[in-house]
Amino acid sequence: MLKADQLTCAYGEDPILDRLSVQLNPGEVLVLIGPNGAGKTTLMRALSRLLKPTSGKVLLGEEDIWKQKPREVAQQLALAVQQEHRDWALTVEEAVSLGRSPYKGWTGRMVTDDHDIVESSMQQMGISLLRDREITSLSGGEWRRMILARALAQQPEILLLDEPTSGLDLKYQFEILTLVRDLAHTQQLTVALTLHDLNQAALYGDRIALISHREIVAIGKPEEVLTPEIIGEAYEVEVHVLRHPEFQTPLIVPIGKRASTS
Amino acid sequence: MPSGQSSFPRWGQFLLLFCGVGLLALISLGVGDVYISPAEVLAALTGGEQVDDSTKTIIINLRMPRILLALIVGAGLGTAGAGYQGMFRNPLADPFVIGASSGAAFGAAIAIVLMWGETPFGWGAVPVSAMAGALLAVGLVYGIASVGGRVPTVSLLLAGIAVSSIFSSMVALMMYLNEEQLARITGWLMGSFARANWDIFWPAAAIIVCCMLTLWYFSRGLDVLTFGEESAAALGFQMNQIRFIVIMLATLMTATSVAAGGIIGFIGLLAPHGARMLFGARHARVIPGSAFIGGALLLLADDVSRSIMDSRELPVGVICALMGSPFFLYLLKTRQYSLDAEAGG
Repeated sequence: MLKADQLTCAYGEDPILDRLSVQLNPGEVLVLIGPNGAGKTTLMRALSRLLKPTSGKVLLGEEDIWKQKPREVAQQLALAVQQEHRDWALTVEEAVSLGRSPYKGWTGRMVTDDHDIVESSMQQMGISLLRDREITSLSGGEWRRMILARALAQQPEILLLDEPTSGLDLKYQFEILTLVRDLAHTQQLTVALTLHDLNQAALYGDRIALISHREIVAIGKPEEVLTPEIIGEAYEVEVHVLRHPEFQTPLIVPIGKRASTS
Repeated sequence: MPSGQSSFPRWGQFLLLFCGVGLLALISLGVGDVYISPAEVLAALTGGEQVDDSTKTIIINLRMPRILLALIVGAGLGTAGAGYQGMFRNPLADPFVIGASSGAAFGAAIAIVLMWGETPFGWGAVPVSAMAGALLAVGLVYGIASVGGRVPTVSLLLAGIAVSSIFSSMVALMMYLNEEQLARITGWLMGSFARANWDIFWPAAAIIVCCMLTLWYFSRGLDVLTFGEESAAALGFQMNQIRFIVIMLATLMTATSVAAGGIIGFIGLLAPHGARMLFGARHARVIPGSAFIGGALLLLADDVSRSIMDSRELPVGVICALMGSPFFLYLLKTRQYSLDAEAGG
């Protein structure tokens, strides 16, 4: 269980999140949406112990995440940040193996179990055949799958993904989101991810949380959050909300910028 | 060669490299003002009767410490380069990137200008002062770059450039104001193993080998950094600890190398690139690979420096730069080490 309780985060003086509370549940995909600069990435960083809140706390299990060691946190929670570097040409297998680091530290040797877990993670993400490829030569979709395989090798209970589809074409966007949703539903993983595409959020989110003006202004099932009024207020655009012809989820069609009320 | 696709096992590659370095060392024992054949070298090393005492003395007391010192200093600079490049995630980083070189030059220049003599523990005042200068410069850079308990990589690099500039200017000023010591300072700045002896070799070897092994022990931390600092932290690593350990170990190796052989560039830049080409990108292999390659490169450069001209030696630092620069340009041109790709993501 991962829970933010009255969380306030700031870079310098200005708060980015103000007394925000949210709970993530096992077997569920929570999609965080919101305008640029709303604080989605800040929330991800705070939830994963990368950013210390100025007040409030993040509970991992029953305990404050800042009272747990980074390695203990990384054994329960995996994060894929928005922009990952690829500085050196590790092979895919070597890169995925680094997912075992929380259990091994700086010096521990990989044993048979670790190799089995790495193998199974690569298989789940369909990248076994790429094992000897250098990560610097991977395409966007292959790279994302490698990052997800590395996250799975951590054997986490919670998976946090910051804009996992950015920079990917439509095929890879759907591929990644389907993989993530399947992981949540079949392996009871707790998944939270940030997305900009509201229609994808509607399709893949079991719940959606809309962050705006430093707090969660709406949270619930897609049809509860994705209404013309709530979207219009947060994004300052006029939208029609239709029904997806195949899945019956909300289908957002933008009309134009909202007329200024001031 | 893409890593992981070689049919030849890695241990075999390391064994070949080890044998190659050993062979080079044997040949190097024969190189110098007096040529000694490999058979005579082997006889001298194994206590054979075929060689006279003066040949034995040349090999055991003059050339052997020099060759081993060149090997260990090259290994130290190569490993330090691997540490800095991994730490800064920058293929252009080398042991001198955060001010170690200019700090050492400043330390050496002060000792020369003030004509400090011997130190109580065997080494001359110049190398000891150079070592202190390198550590002081890196300490300053680290202190300046620290902000609220964090030490951002960019701040480290920028502080390194600024501190380097200050120390370099002070060296230039000392050279300008002390013309009578100009030749000695310049000579020292260009690097040489002409003063090598067992008293210099043993402490240098002890420090460098300890640092190399410790850095190798922590190599997974450098691997994780390939994804960026935030991802490394999300994998449970404490970035400030990694940074401190790597920088301290690499700086200690650089400072010791500079103290033992003067200022020698390019080895720390080239050796890790060579190691990555041969052994892939994992630091558990890059670190020992850089040590072997760095040692071999510097020994080769020293062989050239003491055999290319009759009756005088060229500074080994100059030979390294002359040999290293074209190789580096070749790497830039042929390998996919485009800075855009390296820094991208």
